[in-house]
Amino acid sequence: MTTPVLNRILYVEDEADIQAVAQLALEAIGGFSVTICSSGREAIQVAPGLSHDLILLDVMMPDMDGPSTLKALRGIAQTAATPVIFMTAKVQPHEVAQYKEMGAIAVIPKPFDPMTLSATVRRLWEEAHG
Amino acid sequence: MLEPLLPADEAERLAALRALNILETAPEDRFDRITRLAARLFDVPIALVSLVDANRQWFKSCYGLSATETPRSVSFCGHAILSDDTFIIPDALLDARFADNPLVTGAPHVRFYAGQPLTGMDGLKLGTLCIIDHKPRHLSEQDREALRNLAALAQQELNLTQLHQAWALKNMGGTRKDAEDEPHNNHHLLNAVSRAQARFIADTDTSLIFNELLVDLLALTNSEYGFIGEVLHTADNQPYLHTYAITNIAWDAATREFYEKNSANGLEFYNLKSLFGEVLRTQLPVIANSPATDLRRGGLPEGHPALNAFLGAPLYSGGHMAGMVGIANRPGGYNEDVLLYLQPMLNTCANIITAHKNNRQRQETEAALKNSQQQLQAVLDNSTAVIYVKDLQGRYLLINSAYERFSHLDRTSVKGKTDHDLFPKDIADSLRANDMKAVEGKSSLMWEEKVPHDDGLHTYISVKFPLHDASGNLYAICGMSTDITPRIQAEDELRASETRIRAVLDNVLDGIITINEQGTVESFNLAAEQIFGYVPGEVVGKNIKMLMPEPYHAGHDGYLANYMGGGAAKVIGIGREVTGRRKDGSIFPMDLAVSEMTLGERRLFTGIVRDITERKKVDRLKNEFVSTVSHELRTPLTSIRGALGLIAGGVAGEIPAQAKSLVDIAHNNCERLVRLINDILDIEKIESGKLVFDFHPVEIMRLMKEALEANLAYAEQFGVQYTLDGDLSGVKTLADNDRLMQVMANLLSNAAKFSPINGVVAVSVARHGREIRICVTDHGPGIPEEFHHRIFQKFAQADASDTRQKGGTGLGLNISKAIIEKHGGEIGFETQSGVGTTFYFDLPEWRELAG
Repeated sequence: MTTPVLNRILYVEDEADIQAVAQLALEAIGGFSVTICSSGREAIQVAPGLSHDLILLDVMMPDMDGPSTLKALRGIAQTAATPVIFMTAKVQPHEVAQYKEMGAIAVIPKPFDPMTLSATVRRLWEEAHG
Repeated sequence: MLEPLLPADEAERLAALRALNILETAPEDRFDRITRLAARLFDVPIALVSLVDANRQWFKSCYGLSATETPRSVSFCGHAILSDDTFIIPDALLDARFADNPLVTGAPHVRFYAGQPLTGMDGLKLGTLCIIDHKPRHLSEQDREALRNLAALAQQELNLTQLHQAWALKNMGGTRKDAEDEPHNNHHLLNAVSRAQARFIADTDTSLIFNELLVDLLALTNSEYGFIGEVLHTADNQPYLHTYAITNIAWDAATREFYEKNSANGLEFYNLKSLFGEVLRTQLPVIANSPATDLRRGGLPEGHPALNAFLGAPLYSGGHMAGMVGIANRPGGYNEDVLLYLQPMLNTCANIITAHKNNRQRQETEAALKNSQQQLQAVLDNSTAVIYVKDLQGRYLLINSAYERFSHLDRTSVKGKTDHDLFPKDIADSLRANDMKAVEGKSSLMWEEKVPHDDGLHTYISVKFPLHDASGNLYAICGMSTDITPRIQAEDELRASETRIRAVLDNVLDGIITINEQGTVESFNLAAEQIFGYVPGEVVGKNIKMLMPEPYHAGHDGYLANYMGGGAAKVIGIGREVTGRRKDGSIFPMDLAVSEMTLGERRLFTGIVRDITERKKVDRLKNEFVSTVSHELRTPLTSIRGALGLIAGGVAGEIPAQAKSLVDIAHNNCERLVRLINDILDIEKIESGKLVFDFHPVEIMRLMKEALEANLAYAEQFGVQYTLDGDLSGVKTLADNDRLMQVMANLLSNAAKFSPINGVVAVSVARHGREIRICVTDHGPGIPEEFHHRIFQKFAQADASDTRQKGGTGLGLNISKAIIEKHGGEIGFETQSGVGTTFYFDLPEWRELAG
């Protein structure tokens, strides 16, 4: 089975600065096409209308956190099967296990290295489909 | 008034008195001497030689009285001759027989009377030698003895009168020569008697008196040698002779030496089968004018001077044979006349021997008494109790040294004083009241009494009891008092000290609990009651396990029994955090420190308990705060690090070289800040117990290879190479892979940092006993010794300046130690200054279970 091409990424992150850094890293270095959402609610509204290969989801967000957002996205037909990677500072083994149980394909610890972020995302994508 | 009765032998008595032909004779110096002496000796105004006639008493000698006679009916002497010994009236006014006697109520105002009967040669009482005073008196035993002796002298004079008359009568039909000689001889005899009496009264040395007496005896009888001695008795009651004077008839060196050595103390003769022995045995005179053939003789030792004639005469005094006189070798021998002639001399000898004997016995008695008094005093004086004897009026008769010590008074000044003389009135009153109760009580009674000392009132326990004399009459109170003030003070101090300790125990915030070997609570302070929610008295006496939640509650008896039986201590001597159970069943964390102590034979355990609920809460809040702060720090750091990383990576386009180097500095320090925050969060997790491990069997050699690869880039910065040594492929340990990698990263980076440029850091894996030991060795400068003990502590770095230079957080080894310990392993190091350092950790080997 060949690995599908990874191109369009939806990135959900409440911090504008981190949004900017991650977007730059993913677009300038990885060459991905990135859509930014500043909250879980925005993601739920935006995601069904667009077709993304992968969703990067921050865990700690006000109002609606990462896991809640994931649950909501899974309830929407268009995003029910879209692979999700959590990006979080909470990376203890049991936390990672929890995220994976929820359906995430991987977890990228924060703070991330912007120079290797694209490579890491691509590797995790390939591992998930490998 | 009671008139004197007549004695049974009144008729013979009067006949004997008349026969003396002494009544109505002129005063004679030989009697006046005696009354003078008596008045002087006893310090009395009146002394009399009184002869009791049919209806009167007539005074042969009266000192201090002008009357020469009084009616017999009012006489004291009329009573005195009825008695065998001294007749004494201490106070005539108190005596019904004499209180209204005209001699008492009127002149000469007799209050005190003492009369010693005077006995004639036939034993009839003719009168008295008496002394009289105008005031009441007591006569001591010594005084009585003196009075008897004086009376004996007066009696002798009386008897001498009788003898002279007998002698005169007897010699009326004698030869002319005898008649001519008689007054001459009589004169000598009387002189000799007077001399002896004078010497005796003058209290001359006894041996001198007897020697003179012997000389006189020999001279009067024209004898060659002789002796005067006392009769004593052996233990089996055989009489023997003890000489007071003996002529020196020593005939050779041995007898001379014997005489010189012993005559002064008296010679003793025991042979009753001899002429003198015959006297001792029969108590009768012995006259032997042919001793050589006499059947009674005992024989003489060889060399003894010739014995041609012997007279042995018993010496009678008061109806008893007191001694004997022996004289020898009167030319022409001895006869009854000589014996009769010598009678006054013999009486004098008898009286002086008796007086001497009495004197000796008195001295012996006094010595014995003195001895026993000294013994008693020694016992009293060595007693620590205060001992005293008071008469019934409360006057001190005797005190001991302990009394002198506390009162600072000596016994002579206390004697005769009462407690009222010595102590304040209220105290004296109470002492006296107790004394009186002791007098009333039949046996000893006990009180607590207060007595003033230099340093205030002391408390005594006093035992007091009445003393009775030989005839059972109460005469004194004896008390023995023990000072219990020191004991009371000690008890007070102990009580005060207990109160102080109790106050301390009740005011400390920590609970203090004492239990015994069975776990029974013996003490439980206020704080403990508050901590555990009990009210006073609810816990003491119960088992300590009531304060423990399960499973400790169930296990404590067994634990304590095990410890008492020598098992290992879990808490004792060690402080630790445990869980307590309050009365309401709630449980709470507490610090417990238990120490063991020995009280006599018993072992006790003291536990100090502190409720740490609050501290735990504060710790948790602090940790949560650290966690939150660290997390909040990471969000901006993510942006900064990302932005700097992108610039440094040239993503934002080319930038000038100088700007690039500044961005690199910022980027590096940002990385360091991230590591620091990660480490702080790790520590917080370790301390709050939130660090979760994900254990799986891990192949050690593979993990080491990965660790070396992962840290290769870091080592290159320092131009350092890592090498891996060991051949334990396939050997596994149960580990959290990521956490072990974290430990290796820490050890490897430390080793690289401290290695010289182009140095080698050697990693080795080998078996160490039953464990696997991983060593990381560098060739750096070594760890300074003063730093060894805190190398695994937080923020520990040998030199604070190293922090910047070496870029560490100071938390790595602390985290590594916690991680290795969670793996059931141990971490340590060996270091040598200038040679290098090896950090190692041991992990248990994991083996797959068979089947």
